[in-house]
Amino acid sequence: MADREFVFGHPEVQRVIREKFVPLAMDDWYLRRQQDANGKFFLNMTEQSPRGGVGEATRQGHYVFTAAGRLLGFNNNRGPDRLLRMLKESLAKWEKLPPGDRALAESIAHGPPEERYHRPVPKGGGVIKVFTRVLERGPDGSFTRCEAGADPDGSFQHRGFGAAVDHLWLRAEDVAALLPPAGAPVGTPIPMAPALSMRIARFHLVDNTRGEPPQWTRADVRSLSVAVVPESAGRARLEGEVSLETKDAKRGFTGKLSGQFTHANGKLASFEAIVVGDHWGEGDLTRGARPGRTPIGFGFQLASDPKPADRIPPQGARWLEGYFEADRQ
Amino acid sequence: MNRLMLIATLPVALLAADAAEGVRIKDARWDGGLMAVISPSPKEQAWLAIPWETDLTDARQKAAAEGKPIFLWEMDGHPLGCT
Repeated sequence: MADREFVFGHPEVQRVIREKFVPLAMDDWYLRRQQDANGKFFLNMTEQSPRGGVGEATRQGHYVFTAAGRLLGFNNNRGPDRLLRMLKESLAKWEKLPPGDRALAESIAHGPPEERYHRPVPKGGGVIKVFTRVLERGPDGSFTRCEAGADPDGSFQHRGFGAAVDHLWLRAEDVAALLPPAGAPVGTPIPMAPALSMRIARFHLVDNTRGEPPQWTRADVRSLSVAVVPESAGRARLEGEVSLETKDAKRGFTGKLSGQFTHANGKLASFEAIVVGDHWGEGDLTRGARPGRTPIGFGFQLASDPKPADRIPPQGARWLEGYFEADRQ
Repeated sequence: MNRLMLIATLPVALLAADAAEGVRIKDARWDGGLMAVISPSPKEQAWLAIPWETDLTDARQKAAAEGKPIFLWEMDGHPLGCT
């Protein structure tokens, strides 16, 4: 996502937001659909913007508003200069507000969330950070980052060379199934539970480096083999292979998985894995893929102490049951 | 695929350049080197220096308490993840 690096990595944007605003990041797909208190507040606030009257269509963009819901500014432009201008114009409006309009008339509390759009981190499970990056393969077979991500023409368009971010969620039962049973023979592979291996393949081996990607259907999974290999008490490695391809063969991925994890007292202590292979094709929202079959890498790493940004639900979890039961749904 | 299988038989990766600017590694067997190549660089993660709230009610409460307006970054697909 270009905004992360080019806009919100900009030092002056960071300074202004940190000093003058309460920064908030939300997923429009959920918020614009919610009928709970937060959803209604958001709808009323965005109706004051150019997004007003769009019904259930996207309301994405940059907004400035008061705690009571008065809109002070909006834009949907990439580029730090345009954002800074909007922020400063919004601050000027804020300064002119009577003190009572800057505050809340009465205190607010968390209301009950609308369950179908509520995505808490699974209790007793785990959050695995997932990073995706397109790679270049050198003549010696080594992999490097692609280097042309510096926005040379100033358009702040995404070229897909940065690392994309997602999260793999594990339920308590996924962790229990992942850990080798006590006394499991060292070196003997144990197949990973299909619910988890299919979740990884269908929802996390996707090229999300240029936006929201299409995910893989069950039929797209042509072959999948992931095994847990006990190495010692509390330690195991992961190995596997995967082949994914759409029916029309226009999009696909083949790769190998390797990784390792440690565990204690029935919980993951560490988890790291990579999947590297060749990807081809693109989706409606991810145009601009490199032609042909080109290398891509996926990195998986346990968020041992998840911060707010680590608790963002997986992109594939909009249909939560389908995400968790990826081998059956 | 064959090339990948060949790569997987080679020795443990060796880093040969700075991780933030583009790492060269010697093979793709499990190792921290390739994870470093794939993972975000410090520059790519600079946006995390902003203390993003992820709950609207929390943000409203904080804004009222601190006397600040709220800046909302709203995207299809969560801005802090998903893509």
